[in-house]
Amino acid sequence: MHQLYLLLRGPLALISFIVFIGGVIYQIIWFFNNTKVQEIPKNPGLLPSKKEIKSFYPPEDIKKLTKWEGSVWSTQPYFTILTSIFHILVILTPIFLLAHNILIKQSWGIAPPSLSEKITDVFTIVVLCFGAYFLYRRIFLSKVRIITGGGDWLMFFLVFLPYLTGFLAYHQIFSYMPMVILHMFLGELMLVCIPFTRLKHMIFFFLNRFYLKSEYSFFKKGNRVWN
Amino acid sequence: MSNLPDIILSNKSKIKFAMSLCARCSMCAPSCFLYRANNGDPTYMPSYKMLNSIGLIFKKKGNLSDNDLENIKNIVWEKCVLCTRCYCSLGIDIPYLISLARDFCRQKGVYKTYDN
Ligand code: HEM
Ligand code: HEM
Ligand code: SF4
Ligand code: SF4
Repeated sequence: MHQLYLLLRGPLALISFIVFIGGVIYQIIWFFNNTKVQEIPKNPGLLPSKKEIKSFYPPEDIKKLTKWEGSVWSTQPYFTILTSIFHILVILTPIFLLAHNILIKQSWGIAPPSLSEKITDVFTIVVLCFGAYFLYRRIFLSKVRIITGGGDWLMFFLVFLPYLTGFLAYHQIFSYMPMVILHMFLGELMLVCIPFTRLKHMIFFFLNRFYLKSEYSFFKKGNRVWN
Repeated sequence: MSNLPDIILSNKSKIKFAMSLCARCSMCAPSCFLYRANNGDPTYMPSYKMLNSIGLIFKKKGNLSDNDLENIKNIVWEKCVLCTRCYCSLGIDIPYLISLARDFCRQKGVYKTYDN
């Protein structure tokens, strides 16, 4: 058992970090290879002048209003707030977890800042509650159930099992050693899977919304289209 | 055997990408006026329409039964008007993908007729 622990704690942890970072880089390169800056046709005679363009578009306040009304902040305000809280916690907790950062210090000598264990424990419980909520949605809301497939369950378990096992290990609810080993394995599995499963939305949310030309592109700055 | 017309093949990476990225979160549902007008019938949800039209075509590599084609025809003409008002939080271009399913149907000789 101790051997397995050392394997997961050492080489496999390193490999999972490398695959995770390499996978993210691969996906970013893939995105820029498969999209290009949209070429605007250069026939000035046919194009309206800057002043004319201004008069086509509705005044600023109406533009803002339509943008607001179409966005999820207006159509589903509660779910949007909840999912934002979930996403902030799901990312902050493992990064600022004392147990994780002690391991990092032991391995590489750098000590990233940590939150107190009380706080991260509460965060963990909140994330697990969100897990129950997402599970409820997937099973009982017809609009979510009807599009749920195997890949969605994979994403669900990849996200919440590391939290559950981390929590159980921290509180030593079952026998500690097997639980930590399981936790490390599932945590590493999740890292490896992020760039290649539905969790890649973590990368593409930003790429899509900042770089692709679309009505809802952040700051309207996106200028890329698919090849 | 793949049975996909060029218009689908030339959009292959975009389709595959959308299918694997869509988080099945249903955030796009109320952005479609047809979903709202039909009392939240989930088969009017943009992601449902995208996954069950172009998604199905792609998954089955174009080898669809008549029944599949009939369902897709119903989705892409009766349940979506391609008004492009839907909103995907992850930035998936849903109307474009649904329009590809229309292209596919036309190539198979399946389309909406307005004379009856
Ligand atoms: C890279 C591999 C990982 C290793 C080696 C690892 C290791 C550990 C260890 C040793 C503990 C502490 C158990 C104790 O307190 O004795 C722990 C707790 C925890 N880990 Fe990980 N972990 C990894 C990845 C992850 C990932 C990817 C996540 C989540 C995304 C995660 C979330 C947690 C949580 C939520 C706790 C418990 C917090 C609490 O309830 O106080 N871990 N982890
Ligand atoms: C880093 C930036 C990230 C962004 C911007 C982001 C954004 C989003 C968006 C827009 C959705 C769809 C709407 C929703 O259901 O909330 C979503 C869903 C989801 N995300 Fe993320 N995400 C990120 C990272 C992550 C990470 C790191 C995890 C897990 C560790 C995660 C887990 C999930 C899950 C489980 C869902 C589906 C919720 C459901 O079942 O409906 N996300 N994310
Ligand atoms: S909002 Fe986007 S990611 Fe979510 S279900 Fe709709 S199409 Fe899929
Ligand atoms: S393009 Fe289709 S799915 Fe999107 S809002 Fe219009 S009718 Fe609904």
